Amino acid sequence: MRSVKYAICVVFTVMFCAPVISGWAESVSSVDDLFAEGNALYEKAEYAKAIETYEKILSMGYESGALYFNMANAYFRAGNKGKAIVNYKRAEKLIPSDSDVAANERFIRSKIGATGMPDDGVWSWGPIRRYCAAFSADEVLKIFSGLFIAAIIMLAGAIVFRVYWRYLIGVSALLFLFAGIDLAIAAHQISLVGKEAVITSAEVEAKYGPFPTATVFFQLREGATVRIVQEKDDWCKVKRSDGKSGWVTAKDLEKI
Amino acid sequence: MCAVASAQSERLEAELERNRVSLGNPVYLNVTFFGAQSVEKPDMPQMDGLRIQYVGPATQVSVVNGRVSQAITHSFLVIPMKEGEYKLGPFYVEYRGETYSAAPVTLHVSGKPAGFDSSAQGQGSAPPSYGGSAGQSQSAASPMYRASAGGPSGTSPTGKNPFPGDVIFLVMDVPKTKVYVNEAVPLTIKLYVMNMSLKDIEFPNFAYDGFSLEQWAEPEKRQDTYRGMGYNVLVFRRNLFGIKEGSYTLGPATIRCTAIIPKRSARRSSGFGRSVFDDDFFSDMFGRFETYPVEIESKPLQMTVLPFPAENKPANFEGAVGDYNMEVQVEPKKVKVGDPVTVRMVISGTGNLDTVTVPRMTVDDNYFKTYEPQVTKKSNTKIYEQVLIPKSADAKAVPGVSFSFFDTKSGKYKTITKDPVKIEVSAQPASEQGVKVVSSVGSEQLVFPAEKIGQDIVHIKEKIGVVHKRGTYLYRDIKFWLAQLIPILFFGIFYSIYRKSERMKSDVKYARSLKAPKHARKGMKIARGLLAKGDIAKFFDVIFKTFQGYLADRLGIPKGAVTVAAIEEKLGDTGYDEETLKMIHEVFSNCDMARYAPSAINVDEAGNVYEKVQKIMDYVEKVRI
Repeated sequence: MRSVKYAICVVFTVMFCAPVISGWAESVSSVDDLFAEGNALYEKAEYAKAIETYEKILSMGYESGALYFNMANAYFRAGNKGKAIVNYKRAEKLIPSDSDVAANERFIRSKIGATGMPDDGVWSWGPIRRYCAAFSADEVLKIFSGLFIAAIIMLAGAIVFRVYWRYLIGVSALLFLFAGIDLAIAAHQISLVGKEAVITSAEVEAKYGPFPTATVFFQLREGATVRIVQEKDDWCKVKRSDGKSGWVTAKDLEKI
Repeated sequence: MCAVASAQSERLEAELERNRVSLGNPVYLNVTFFGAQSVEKPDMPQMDGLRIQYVGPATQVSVVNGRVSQAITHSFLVIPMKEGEYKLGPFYVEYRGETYSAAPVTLHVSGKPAGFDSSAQGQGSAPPSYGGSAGQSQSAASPMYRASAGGPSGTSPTGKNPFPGDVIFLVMDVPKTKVYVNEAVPLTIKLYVMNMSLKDIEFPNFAYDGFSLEQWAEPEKRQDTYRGMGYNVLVFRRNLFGIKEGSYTLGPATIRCTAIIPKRSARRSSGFGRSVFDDDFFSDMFGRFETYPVEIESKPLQMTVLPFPAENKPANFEGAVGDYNMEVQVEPKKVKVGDPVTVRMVISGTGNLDTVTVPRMTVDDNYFKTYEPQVTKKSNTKIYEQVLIPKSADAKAVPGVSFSFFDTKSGKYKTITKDPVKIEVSAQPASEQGVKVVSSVGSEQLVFPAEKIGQDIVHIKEKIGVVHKRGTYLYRDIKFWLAQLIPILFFGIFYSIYRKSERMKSDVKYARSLKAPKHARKGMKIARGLLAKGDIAKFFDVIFKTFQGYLADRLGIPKGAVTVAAIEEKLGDTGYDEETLKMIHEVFSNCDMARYAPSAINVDEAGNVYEKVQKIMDYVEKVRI
């Protein structure tokens, strides 16, 4: 009788603990495994499940360019173009030099139709704009660090090697200048963090005020990139690349 | 004949080669200035009935018995155009502000031809070489008579051509003067020249209203006889085509060239006697020939351009003129639907090939697709290549071809008709259907299968790549910004070390003062060892030297000058205490005593001195000097 009780105890313990143990097992399964799992689901055309799996990695507090890229692909296959573009944008921030990201984004924009206005940003001079596009804010900061160290080494060199001090001071000044420009670019990129958003609903009306009865100012299409200027309750004031700004509901957009 | 100028040494003379000449015979007028070589030519007004042309200057220098004589002769070629008596001059030149003059000379021009001129002159000069032949074979009739009576070829001496008409003349000739519209007319222009050299001959110019022209053919040189006389002939050929019916005047043709004629013996040496420059060799080299421009004109031609007769004009006649034959070839004769068939029509013969157009061919659009025919033109042949593409297997034959032209020889229209050529057209197999590029020449064909290009997104990535913690940004990391201070810090350290090392190099006092404690510690260590061994004499020797050296280095005074007074002076500003000074004094006196009576001091006292020295050094080290 005692042994029976003991057996029941063991069985109940196992039954109750099993989910706990399995849950624990899941949490320790590495980010790589989840990623591979998501990819396998994607290849089986189970896009919703794939997205869910990728989301798990995010909820664990990790992110990567490839992760956002694959998520974007899955969203596109699942029919959500707006979400796809948001995730391509996120991927772009982490791996700006990856051409696949830009290619897929372009392809999806061509599916949506009008691609909206070109967003040149504040840097209208080509080389700086391309530089901005090619490096993430973190990378720009690292470049600044390198330039700064190099400038200081040149300055020290100018003190020691007095014969060449003019050249070394010149090089040093130039490096300081570049470092300064680089820092300004970084500051601009940092200022955009959390301010950029993509419209995720098919057709959104931007209004003159943050209330439903306000007059419609202009329309925004799914996938359009906007800058958030102001936030109030469930409304966001967004600015389009042509300078027009209006209020849209927060659920219609997603921050990059 | 001669006119002597005023001055004895410097004078001007004018001289005609001959005073009597016949029409068209040029004569030289030499105006010579003796005594200088840089004299401008005299002004020579043009005179009615004479053509006067400046030939150029000739300078002479002669040395006779050590005397140098120099002269300049300005020569003019005078060509008589009319009979009469002419007075040339007087002549004036300026030299060094003075005017010199030469008296006028008189020229008699007779109307007789050049050939008879020599006998009339009676001066023993040679008959003119280039005009002389006229007198040998022709009658006494002047060239002017011949020009009016001499048919199409005669020319008269015009204003530009001073030579008699049978020495040099131009003939313009066509095989027939009545031609049809667009009929090719071979025009020849012949330049006859007897016993004379010409250079810089230009192509003839002539008016050609109502005609179009082809390019000049290469001129031909040959020898020919004309009216029993031998000539050098230059033949220019060019084809003409009548543009529109009507009567037209062709020409007169003119040719410009430069005649080279032998120079007459110039007697400009009269002032010097015979000089070396009159030698045959020199005149051969420099003065024997003269050139001057000539323009020769032919007689015009009357031409009639006839229209095509209206009667029996074929419907497909499109203006082709000449005598032609046509061949038609069809290649290949077995084709598939869509493959090209080339119809080659070769038209050859004589006539104006430019008037030949594509032979007429009636193509049924239901059976064939056509392209613009390709044209190739050769000297006497024109080839048309027409590409036909069968649209269906029902196309049984290439349609017949007909070509009409007007035969100018018979004055009738002619039509060449070729029968349809049978071909076999088979249906295109389905496998070969695709895009076809058909070259218009029709021999090559290329088949490209239609390519289909898909579009989609790039596939997902297999590797997750670099994984970040979410929401971590470098700019939010205080460690990053602190790290930026590291280079500045390093720079500061580097700079202070660098400054110090530089001062050590340049400031001896500073260097000594910095090194003083190090040296002192070394000395004190040795002293301590000696004290332990109980070697008092040596101990005092070492400690004195160390103490003296330390104070000298630290206070910046020479070693020999280390005295209590000197130390007091150096420490004076630093607020030293009296006790230290006293200790220094005691140390020095102890050292002195030990040096002279080492046995008077025991080990304890020596240890006491060591302690004192240590204390003093500690004190001085803290003091800012």
